[in-house]
Amino acid sequence: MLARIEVLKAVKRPAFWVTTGVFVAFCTLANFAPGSNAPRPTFPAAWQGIIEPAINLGPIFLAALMILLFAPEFRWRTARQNVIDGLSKEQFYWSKVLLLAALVALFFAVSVLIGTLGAIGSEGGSGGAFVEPTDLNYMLGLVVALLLWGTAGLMISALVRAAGAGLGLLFLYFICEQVVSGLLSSRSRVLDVIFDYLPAALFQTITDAELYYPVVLARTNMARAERGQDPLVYQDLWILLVAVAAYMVVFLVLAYASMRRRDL
Amino acid sequence: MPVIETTDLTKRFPAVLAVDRVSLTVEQGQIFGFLGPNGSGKTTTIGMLMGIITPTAGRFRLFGAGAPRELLAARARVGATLETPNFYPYLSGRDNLRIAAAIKGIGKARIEECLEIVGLRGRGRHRFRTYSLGMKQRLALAATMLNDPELIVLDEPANGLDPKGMKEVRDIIRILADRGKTIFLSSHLLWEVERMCTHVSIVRKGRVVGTGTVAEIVGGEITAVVRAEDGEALRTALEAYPEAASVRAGDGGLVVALASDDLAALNRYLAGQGIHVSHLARRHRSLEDAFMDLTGDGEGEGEVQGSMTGFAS
Repeated sequence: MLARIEVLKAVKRPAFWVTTGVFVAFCTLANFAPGSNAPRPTFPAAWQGIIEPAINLGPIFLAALMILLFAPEFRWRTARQNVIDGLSKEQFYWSKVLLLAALVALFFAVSVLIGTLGAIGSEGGSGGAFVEPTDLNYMLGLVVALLLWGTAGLMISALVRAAGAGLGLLFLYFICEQVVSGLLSSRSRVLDVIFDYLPAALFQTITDAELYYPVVLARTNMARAERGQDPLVYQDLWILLVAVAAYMVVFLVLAYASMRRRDL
Repeated sequence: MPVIETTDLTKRFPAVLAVDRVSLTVEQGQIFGFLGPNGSGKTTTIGMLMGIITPTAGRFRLFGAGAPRELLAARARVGATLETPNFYPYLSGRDNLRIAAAIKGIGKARIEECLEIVGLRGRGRHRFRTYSLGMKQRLALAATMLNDPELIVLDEPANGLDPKGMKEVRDIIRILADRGKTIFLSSHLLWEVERMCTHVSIVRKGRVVGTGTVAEIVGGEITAVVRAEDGEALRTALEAYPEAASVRAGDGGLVVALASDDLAALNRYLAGQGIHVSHLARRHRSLEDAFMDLTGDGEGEGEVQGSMTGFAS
């Protein structure tokens, strides 16, 4: 019942089609636009190129879409009416969690489908399996990044209860974290570690192709060495995933507490 | 078993005590008017009953249910709308009802029935944002009817409507009342409430100041409307009249509540005070009079309240 309601609310909302449409257009451009003359790799080497554009921008689109679909329910007082009609506040919250899960599945499917269509018929195959474990990890990274930003969007919606202010807060936080960490980084080892694990920094880390593909990391570090820069060193993927999961739990708990405690 | 029962229900917001120990009992089949000036706590009280506002203190029961899980089941027997109609502006009227129906576990056929009852079947496919205020109110009524509820809670259902829209809403409420529904109606339209309701409660600054049947609230008090050239002198004289329970300005003159029915004696008294009245008429006391007295919105508040303590909780 909750899923049916959310589907009806979402698919008839122009903001859903506009945001999803822009994301689809972006994925299509990234996978089909004429680029260099070099032949496009076929599977499994194609996966990195398929996931990379989606993992960099998909989560931001998803967070914005989550805010656009959820936050106005407070201004329109439809959240209130849903509860009057018979949902508990908790059920209303879980309906939004279901919406988030559906959007994550949709964005992932769109990214993979468009990328796969773009890679069909490519030449310059690298042989091997259709998909390698590193590709699966990268796909996992995409799902986790979508979930991280989606839960952030859900939390902001529940706390701020206004779409415009929510979107502003989302992007402002993203910018502020980068500015503050840029200004204060390298002043203290402890601060550096803290900055590495703040949400936006963590998001950037888990979306780096270098984290998943040793070949890409080696190539990047070679380039950095030529420029006299220190090599990139990544934490173990699972440690980063645990950190992301911790943030997601915090975001979900804050949203839940806000829904439960605050009047509608 | 009462349909609604509140005991010392209280809601305190950071800056204001919105609802102060409200105790109400609404029995099955009653058309219960819940009256009060703006900001008196009516919507907050209804909000607590509907689960959208958490009470600070006190308790309430719906159909005898008081525990959170029981209340959720009890609310399935309620149809309610608060303040303005709350719907998705980008959805059609029919789609908005589909959402409400899905929550209530109701089939599509009932949606069409309800649209038919409120006269919106022909406009069901149009977006809610294109509806007039009257149509929005009618759609809200349709949503409350979806689950054929035993209790219908309507908060200012005629708000902002023109006379035609008000009549439409009134007719729908009558249809529901004729079907034996219990109706809990918050309204400013006192003459409407007086005509429709069997029982009323009047709230002021979050507190119930009067409750009972409409006849009990209106009371058997005798009132008269008096006019004279010198209004101030008339007021002074009336306030000094031993048989006067209260004096306040009203339509067409001063309204005086009298202890006896003897208007001739009042006329003689005023003449004796050198005041020659241009108008003196007995007046039927209305719910509006009782409301003004109880909420202190009439002039001469202190005296009026002193005379109405029998109603105060």
